[in-house]
Amino acid sequence: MEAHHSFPSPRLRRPPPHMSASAPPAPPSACPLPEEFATVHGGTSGRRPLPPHASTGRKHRANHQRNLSLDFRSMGIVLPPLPSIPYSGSHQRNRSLDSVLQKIPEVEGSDTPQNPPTTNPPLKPSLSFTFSDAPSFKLRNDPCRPRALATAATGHPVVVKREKDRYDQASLGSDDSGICSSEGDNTREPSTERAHSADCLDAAGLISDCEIKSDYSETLESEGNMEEPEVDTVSEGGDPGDQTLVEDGDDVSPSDTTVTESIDSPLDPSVTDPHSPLTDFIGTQEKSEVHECSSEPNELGEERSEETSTKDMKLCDEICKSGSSDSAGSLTLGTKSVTNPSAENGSNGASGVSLSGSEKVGVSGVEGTLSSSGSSMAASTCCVNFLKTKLDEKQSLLLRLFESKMFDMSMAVSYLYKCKEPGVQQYIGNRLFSMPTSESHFFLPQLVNMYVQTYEVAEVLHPYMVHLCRHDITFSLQCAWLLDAFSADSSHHRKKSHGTKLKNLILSDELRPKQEGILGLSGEMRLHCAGGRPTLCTRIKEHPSPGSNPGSPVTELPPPFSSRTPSILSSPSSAFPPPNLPTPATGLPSSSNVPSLPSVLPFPITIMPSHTRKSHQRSRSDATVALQAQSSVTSSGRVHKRTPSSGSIKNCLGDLTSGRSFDNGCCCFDSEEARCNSLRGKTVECNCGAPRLAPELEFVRALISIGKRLGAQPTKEAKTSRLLAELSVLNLNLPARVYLPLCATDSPHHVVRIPPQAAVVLNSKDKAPYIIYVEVLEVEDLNTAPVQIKLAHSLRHTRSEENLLNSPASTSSSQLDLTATPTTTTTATTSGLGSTSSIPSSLSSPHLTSGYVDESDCWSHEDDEISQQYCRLKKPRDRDTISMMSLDSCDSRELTARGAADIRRRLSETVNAPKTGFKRDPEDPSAAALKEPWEEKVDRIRETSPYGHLVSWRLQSVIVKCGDDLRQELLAYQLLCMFQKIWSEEKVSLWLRPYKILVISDDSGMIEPIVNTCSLHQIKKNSKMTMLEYFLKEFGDKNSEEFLTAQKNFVESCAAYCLVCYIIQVKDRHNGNILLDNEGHIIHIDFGFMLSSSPRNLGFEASPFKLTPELVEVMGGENSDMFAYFKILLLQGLMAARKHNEKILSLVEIMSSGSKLACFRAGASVVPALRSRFHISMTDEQLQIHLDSLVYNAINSLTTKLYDGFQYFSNGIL
Amino acid sequence: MGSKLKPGGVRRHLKEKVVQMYEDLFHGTDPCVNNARFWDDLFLLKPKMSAMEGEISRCSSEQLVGLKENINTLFAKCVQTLAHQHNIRVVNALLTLCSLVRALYRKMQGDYGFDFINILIGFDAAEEQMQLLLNHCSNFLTGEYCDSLKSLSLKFLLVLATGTDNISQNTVLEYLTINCNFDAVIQLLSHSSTRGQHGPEAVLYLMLMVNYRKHEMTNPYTVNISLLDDELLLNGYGQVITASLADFNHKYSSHFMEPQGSGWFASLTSMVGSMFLSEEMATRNEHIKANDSFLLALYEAVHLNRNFITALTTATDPSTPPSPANTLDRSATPPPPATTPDTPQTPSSTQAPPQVSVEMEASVQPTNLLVTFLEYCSIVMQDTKTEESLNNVKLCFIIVTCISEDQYCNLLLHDANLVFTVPLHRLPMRHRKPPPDRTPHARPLACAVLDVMVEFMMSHMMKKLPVELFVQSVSIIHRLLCYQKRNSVRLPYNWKELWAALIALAKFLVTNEAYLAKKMNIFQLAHQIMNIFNLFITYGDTFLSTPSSYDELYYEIMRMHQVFENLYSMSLRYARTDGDYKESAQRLTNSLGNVRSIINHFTPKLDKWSQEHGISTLTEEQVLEVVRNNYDSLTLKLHDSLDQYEKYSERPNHSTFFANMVRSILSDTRQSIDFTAFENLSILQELGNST
Repeated sequence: MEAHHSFPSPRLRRPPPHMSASAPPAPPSACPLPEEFATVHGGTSGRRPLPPHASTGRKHRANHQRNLSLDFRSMGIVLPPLPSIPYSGSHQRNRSLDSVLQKIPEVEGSDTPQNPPTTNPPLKPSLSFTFSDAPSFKLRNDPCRPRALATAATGHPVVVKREKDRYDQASLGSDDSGICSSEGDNTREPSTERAHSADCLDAAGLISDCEIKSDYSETLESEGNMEEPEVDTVSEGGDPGDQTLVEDGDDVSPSDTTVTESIDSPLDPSVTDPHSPLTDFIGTQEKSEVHECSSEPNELGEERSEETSTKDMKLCDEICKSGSSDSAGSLTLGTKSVTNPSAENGSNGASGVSLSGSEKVGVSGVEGTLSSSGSSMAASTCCVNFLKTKLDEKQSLLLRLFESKMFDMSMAVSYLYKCKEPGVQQYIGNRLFSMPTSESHFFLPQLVNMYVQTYEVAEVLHPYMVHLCRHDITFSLQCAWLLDAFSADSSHHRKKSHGTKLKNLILSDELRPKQEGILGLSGEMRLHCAGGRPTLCTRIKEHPSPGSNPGSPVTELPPPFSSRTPSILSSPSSAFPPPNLPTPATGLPSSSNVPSLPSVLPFPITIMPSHTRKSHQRSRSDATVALQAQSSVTSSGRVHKRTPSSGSIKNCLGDLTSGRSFDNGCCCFDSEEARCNSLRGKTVECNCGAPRLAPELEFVRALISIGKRLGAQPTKEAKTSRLLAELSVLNLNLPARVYLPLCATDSPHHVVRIPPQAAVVLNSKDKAPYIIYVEVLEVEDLNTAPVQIKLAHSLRHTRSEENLLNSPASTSSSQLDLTATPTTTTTATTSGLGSTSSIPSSLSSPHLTSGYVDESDCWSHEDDEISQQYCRLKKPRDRDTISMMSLDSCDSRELTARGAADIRRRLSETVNAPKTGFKRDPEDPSAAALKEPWEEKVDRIRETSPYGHLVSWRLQSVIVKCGDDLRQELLAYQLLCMFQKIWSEEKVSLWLRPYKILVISDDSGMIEPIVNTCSLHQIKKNSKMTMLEYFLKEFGDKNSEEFLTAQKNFVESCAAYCLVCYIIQVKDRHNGNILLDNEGHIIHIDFGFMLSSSPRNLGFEASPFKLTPELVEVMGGENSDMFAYFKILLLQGLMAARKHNEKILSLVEIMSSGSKLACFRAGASVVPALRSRFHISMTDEQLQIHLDSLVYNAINSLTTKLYDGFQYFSNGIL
Repeated sequence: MGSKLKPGGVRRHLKEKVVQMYEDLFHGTDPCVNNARFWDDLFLLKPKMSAMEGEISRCSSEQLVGLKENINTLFAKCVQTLAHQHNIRVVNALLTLCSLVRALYRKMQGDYGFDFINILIGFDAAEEQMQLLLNHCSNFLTGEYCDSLKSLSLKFLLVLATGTDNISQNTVLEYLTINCNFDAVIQLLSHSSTRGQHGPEAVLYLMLMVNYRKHEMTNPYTVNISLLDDELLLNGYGQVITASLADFNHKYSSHFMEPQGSGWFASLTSMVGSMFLSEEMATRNEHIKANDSFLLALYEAVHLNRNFITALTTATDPSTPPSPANTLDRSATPPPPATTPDTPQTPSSTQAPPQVSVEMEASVQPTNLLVTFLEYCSIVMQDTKTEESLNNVKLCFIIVTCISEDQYCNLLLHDANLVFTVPLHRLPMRHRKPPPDRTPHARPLACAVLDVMVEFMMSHMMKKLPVELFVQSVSIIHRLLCYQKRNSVRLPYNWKELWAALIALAKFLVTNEAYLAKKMNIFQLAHQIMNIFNLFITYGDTFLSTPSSYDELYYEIMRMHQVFENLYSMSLRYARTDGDYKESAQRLTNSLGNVRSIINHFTPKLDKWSQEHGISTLTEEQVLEVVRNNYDSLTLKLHDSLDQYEKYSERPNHSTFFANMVRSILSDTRQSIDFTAFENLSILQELGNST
């Protein structure tokens, strides 16, 4: 494709010409159609005061964008000279593509003069802004994009439909992507006529353009008017000058490039919007330029391809030259990239059938990288600037806030939720890219809920979500699960909500460059590479593809970033010295990223092609097959297990009995080559196109379905044995490239085994949550590390001494000895077999040899039994009678007599010895299992595990819960984390232990078990002591250091949980829900009742929190120092929490929107009630008094006792 | 020549063409003389196996020698045709091969050796041809071929393997060891679909081949099966066995639950009469016999392969809904084991009445091989009347012995977290009251093993004492106890039942000594029993779960002290007189020392106590109290090597047993290989379609 691009075929030229032509006209068009013009410029004008048009634009702005959009549409409908049309549409697209590729040069040629390199300082921000916006647009565009493409490709008739479709599909779902792909093909066809290469690039460009437009349209429709102006500006800025110009021209002059207009007609503004950032720059910097261009005859457009390119170049140069221009340049790139990603999504979704699609992917990848890394920061800052200019004073304050260091994810999320202003939302949406990923992981539930609930926000968020999903498989899965859970509530209004669509998009595994597409591409690319000289475009495409091959572009971001960007910048426009680019004058926080670009520039170009070629080779399907075959031959022993020789390469995903249920068939990381590469430090990439998400999905599905089946079992015992059985089957499929999602981000790992015996069904009335202990191997990167080979139970240690002695001795005797030699090597086998005349050729049979080689080490523990058997042939049973065990019992021989009393005493001593654990009770198997100290359990399991000897072996545990909605627990987890963070920031020594929650659907999930804990109920039941007595027993004397430490821990944790319980009104606080860990900390679990919900709503538990006299006793009584400390902690904690109450509130508030969670049953009053509990208006003294009364109430609460009593009678909980 | 025997030309005309061709073939002349396309045509036609076999059976050995050329060519052509792209021809060729080989084997009965190979293939070509042939078979088995072809290849292999009564004398199998197709066959077990279709035959074939000269040479099948460590394959292997055994169990239980839906055991007891109906016994025995091959396969796996142990406790197929049929893992095997088409199926046993299945559904637990096998044991051992059934039980017990000797398996058996409910069946007997009607708790599997052994002892104290089985069962118990002692495993088992059974057995031996001692060495058995008691007495502290159970042991001994005293006097008698059993009797006498000192120690104490309290008969509580208070002055003798046992070894003790077992399985299998499915046209058409 690249090659195609490189070839300037006449046809290719043609479309670009249109584009270019249109570009020049664009300004003129503005003239003819004042309204449009206004709209076009509206963005610009909005930014700065400008000609009359600008004023009109402002006007629009002032109005709601929606209105504008409506107007535009209507106007557009009128305006678009439909006839002009299909071609033009395609042309425009081409243009955009071309422009992407070629803008730079063209700009140089024509525009340089126009756009004074000396970018006006004010303009820069706008430019930057455009960039930032562009990504957002793209994001929004995604859905629309495909259609836009289609229209472009197919022609005008479609256009109208398209628009409708857009509305319908406004969502970003995978469907769209599919459409995109098909459309992409369509687009191609026309383009193919010209030349494939050009097409590809063009297609990408087109797509982006179209997307932008469509997005724009969507945004218009869906969102407020606010967006429009922005969009406009963006569009202008976004497309390289050429495109924008062209488009403008089209729009303006119906006669010229009517097609685009017709398509976009409703979207006139959108048409203008599509302009790439460069155009924005231009436009913003000098509208005069634009006007000039517009004034230029449309005819120029024909030539424009070149011109545009030159212009683009110029623009770039200018940008580069101007101090600010650097940032702008990078920004532009970023914007493009941003736009592209959206295109990518679509194309990827399409399965990259079309070259264009694949190319897009590549491009998008590049762009994505740019946007994400370097440009995002820049963009955000730019945006800020823009916002400043745009927004009124108040808003500028807001902007200042946004720019400040204080602005963090929490604020971003909360403003995203609260602020309905599209500009702000846009800004934040872009700004998100610069936030640390861990933060976005944390706020994922909020993001998802907003995504699902609010369409506008979804549009803003989409790019970011997609970006993250690409980046991180773990994240994307979590995202999909959450989307599933949250869409479940709202699914009824829309058949297919955008949330569901995003989920499907993620689950369809399209958020990565599709391998097939790449394959196709690669083939094409090869051709092109061979034939043509690489143009910028080609390079861009190439780069992405290599990157994309390995995995999702996102994942690859870091490396590609450096390499790709340079190429882009450097290629044709190498004229401008890379060093020129200084760090952005704007002084972006992330400036460090930006500078990296220039420095890299020089090298990459040469590197890139080779890279691509390599990727091609890899991607060749036959090649991979060959590789596999090779590897299987070379390391036959290992491989044969995973891919049985029977040739059943069938995909067994999800079939637990197959033993390869979690094997997606990808051998890319397990092949010899991959291992070598990883040893050499090269990144290994998967190029087989196997579904990446499927194994983990299947794994989780298997765990959940076990839970569901357990629920059907009548008795606890039946459940237990069922669990055992299910897990043992599950084990057959392990090790595999699966992981526990809860711990995967902290410590990437692969699951190798789930010891069935260790798993336990937990107590629950009708559901069957269960805890599993999972043996995992830590790996560096769970996506690329090779999967551990299955190991059998190694019984080496049981091998007895006599067998060791015997086996070698018997070797000489006969061929049978072969079996006996413990260290069988291939040679040994040969010799052994050779001696047997009867089976001379047995070695030659592949099965046998491979068997021997593979199993060579298995022999050693296999042999003794057989060897023993054969040994007996030789020397009949001289040692037979001495069993292995006899050796152990030597000591007993020395004694000849024993007193019966002695035996009896010892028996009772050992049996009655105090046990650390609880006795195993078939009715409550979990108690014993949970009581066992974690370390002991780890050691025990490690000892019996065949993988225990591996250094990276770890034990993880997880509770799998079916039939419960864990979203509320998830919220509680977030709240706890937030409290924890607040208190640690404020240096209040309160202790909390949030436990992680994974929501898989609205009725299943996983919970992180807290190890080394016991519930107060279990303690009381087993020890029959009061808490203080238990503390004394566990930790020692009252004045011992251990006790004091434990007491301090107790107080700090107790105070923390009291506050939490009070603020978020956690109910159902019986002793079964309160744990004590082995350091004295108290830990509350089960946040099923909080905020506005309580058990049965009986009004039980009226006390603010659970603080029984017994607990106070542990602190030393109400008059003790520790109790005073407790109260101080309460006060400090509450004050700290109050200070940051917004963080807490925003978490809750966002989740409350559209939520059906029980804790929001009280509806709108939940958040105010929560806020009121922070007592913001109270003075410190008042607060203290209030807290004292709370403590008093809690200690003396009647309802607490009542509730405990109720729990005792109803559930037997002490 | 055969055609000469046929009466007239009229009938000749009615002959099918293929039969005509067979006749031409076995005339001794080159068939191509008359028909140049003879071979082409031959494999186009559906073979008529009976006709071919008839032709051959009519030939005398000399005639066959004369026909060597033609037969060799036929064989070569068949092999050649296997490479043909049309499956129909391939199937025809394979069928022709099957009937040819089968008929020749029949003809050569008792006259094996080179002649057979020579006549069939010809010496010079034999190696090459066989290699080709077997490679084709392996291809069919592993490649993407239709199921009927796979199945036919397997059947052909079985025909080869079952040619002679003594498998070790089957020289053709030499080629099968040279071109070992172990991997190809075992891969069939890896996936449930192929396993369902071909599993039983694959396992059967492997089992037979493992037994081919297993003691005389390095048999690659033996080696491979002992090395197999692919959990999936091992599991598949186990599943095939489980399926077959579970099927039997299911039929058995549904049959005996039929009369009343009320209760499992209640219905059992009511079946006392009908149970012994001879015809029912006959069908039952047929079923048991059909399972012999799988038992033997289980034995080979347990005996040869340590990795197989994990498969013993891996659940079979939990993903299927809990209907009885499915939980018994018959989902994979649509029809009952394909190798037993000849087993008559009584209508009563094939279908479980609906109410039964409903009832079972609630109680059905995920099962595994070991659970199924133990249940099977409990059924099989109910009948030891015939030699055959005795052998069955013996095989079962050998397997359990192997299991109880394995370290890792013991670990699994005793794992407190690895609990299962094993439905054990008890022979209804008049002198026993029906067991409590409750579903047993899930317990570690060792408990189930002990239960089976206890049940066996309690139900087989008969005049024709199966002493070998008793020795086996006691030694199994011994092995488990040794493991427990060594590893301080305190199994939650009600040892009282075991003690009672052992004492009852001792009592039976003593009372029937006069009769039994003439026929068998009862002293060895008694010695084993006493060893177990000594283990409890002297090492009880290491593996008993509660102190009170140690008291109960003494109580049991005291309660039954008469038995031990009689046993002692009997052993003394034999030890003092020179006889066959002198040595054993002396050992027995020795081993009784501890029990005697216990009796001597506590008897006066008990007497004293009853005198003091003026009670003539003491209650259990009272005895226990005396016991508890009077341990002090009692000293026990530690016996050497109480926890040692002779490790199980197939040779030399059991080699003939297994040889006979294989022989009988072989002849059964030979008769049951069934080609009717391939002789009907539809299959061939389907074949044609699939190409």
